[in-house]
Amino acid sequence: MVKYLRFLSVYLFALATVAGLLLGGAWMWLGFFVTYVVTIAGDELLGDYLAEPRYGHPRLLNALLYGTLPTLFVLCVAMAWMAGSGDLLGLGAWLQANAGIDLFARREATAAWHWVGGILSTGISFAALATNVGHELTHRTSDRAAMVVGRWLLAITFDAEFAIEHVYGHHRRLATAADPASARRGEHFYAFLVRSTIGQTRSAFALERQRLETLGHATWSWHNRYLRGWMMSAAIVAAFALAGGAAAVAVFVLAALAGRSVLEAVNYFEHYGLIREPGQPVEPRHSWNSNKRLSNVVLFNLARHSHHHAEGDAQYWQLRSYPDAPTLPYGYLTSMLLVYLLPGWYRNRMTPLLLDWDRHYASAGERRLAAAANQVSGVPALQFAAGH
Amino acid sequence: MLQRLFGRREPEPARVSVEPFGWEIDVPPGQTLLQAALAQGLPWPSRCRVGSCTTCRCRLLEGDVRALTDTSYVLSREQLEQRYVLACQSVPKGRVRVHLDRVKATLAAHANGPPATAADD
Repeated sequence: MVKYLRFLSVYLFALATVAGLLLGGAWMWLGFFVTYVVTIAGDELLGDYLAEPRYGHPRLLNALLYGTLPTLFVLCVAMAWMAGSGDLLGLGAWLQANAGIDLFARREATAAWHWVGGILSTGISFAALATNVGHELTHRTSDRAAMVVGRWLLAITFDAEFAIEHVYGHHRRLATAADPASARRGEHFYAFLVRSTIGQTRSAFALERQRLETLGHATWSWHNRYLRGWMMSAAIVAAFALAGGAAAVAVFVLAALAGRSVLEAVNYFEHYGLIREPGQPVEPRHSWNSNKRLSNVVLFNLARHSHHHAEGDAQYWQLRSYPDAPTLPYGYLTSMLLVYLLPGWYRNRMTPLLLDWDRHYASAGERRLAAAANQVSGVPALQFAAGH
Repeated sequence: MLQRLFGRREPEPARVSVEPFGWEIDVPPGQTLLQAALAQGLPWPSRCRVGSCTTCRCRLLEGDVRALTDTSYVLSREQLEQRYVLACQSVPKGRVRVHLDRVKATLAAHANGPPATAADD
């Protein structure tokens, strides 16, 4: 049973975020600190998990995914309540009567700057529960329920179009110059953040327009899933406006953007500098893998990324560890923090790993492309290697 | 690996004939055409397995398949009109006959069918 229930851990982070929001004041940082401290320390202390257990209850494994939707609803209610004025859904009166918590006083005691913590806590919870699970579900293109729930989850961070671009764009163009979501050698995270965000949304629109042309539908019609995705996000924003007014909209939009930037940080280190010849098969060597125990438990095995890209139809519980694949030096949350705070340092940290990749993983064709990429990378150690 | 992936299960293996090679593939319930073909060691060309690269495409001559992905993102209108499907995203509905344009060059030596005629692209 433990092998199933361990995937509940991400719910603890959401719980910490909800509790922090409702306690108000400096407590608003609770979710942020619990998430980062527990996973970073946990990855260091618990090390790798290479086992590939068999699972006999896919329904339970799916319930663990779908459970994020009601959890996120609770999170959004807590956020809107604390940002708004009245007593949304009678939550304040209910908590006062049943738990003796005076939510109204907590809200009074919460200053605008406390919301920095509230927004960052919610942002990381959005990324873990909404974006990550939305990614898992929208890979199930044949499962209508999974696609609907997955797209709504993605819409929370203004990214329902990810369901188009990721499957039909990123997986096909992985680690080539044509892929906006594969970070190039030497590319700085914040440059990538802009290029990838714009590139993916343009790619999603182009793919959708192409599909509608193929089917003989007009681009600007209700058939357009790209536009419908943005309408879903607009509906969520409208719900926040109704629930808590302009302040609720403001904190939600900022948290959603924070969540979306987490997706780009993850995109950045998952494939940074890796190279594939267009037209050649996607292999485990085209992703940075991580078998860190806690990163995988918390993110439904997302860190087993080499297998995910080599076999995109595998469910999260089927992903294998691939210990021989190119491996990230740190777990996911650690990498994320480094990418955000020390992007230049992280890039340099990856330089020897890229040179090792060129020597030990790359095909002959990839080695040629890598040498060219090294030359224009702007990273001296890579340029030096290209010259020798 | 357990292939309980894709919901509804067809009761019996579906028999698929592949022209012009004369291959006969029994696709077990819940498996895709490509999974069954590769399990038999056939040199079926494939790359991404998520229905985006179209390397595994083949043409339906007879019968029908359940598509696991929206092939209108990746196949052209002409291809759709000619009933092209993606083997990696196709669960055959009963008896099916398909036409495969080419085989995987690198595996062709091991195939029971005729020699390879085209490269894997």
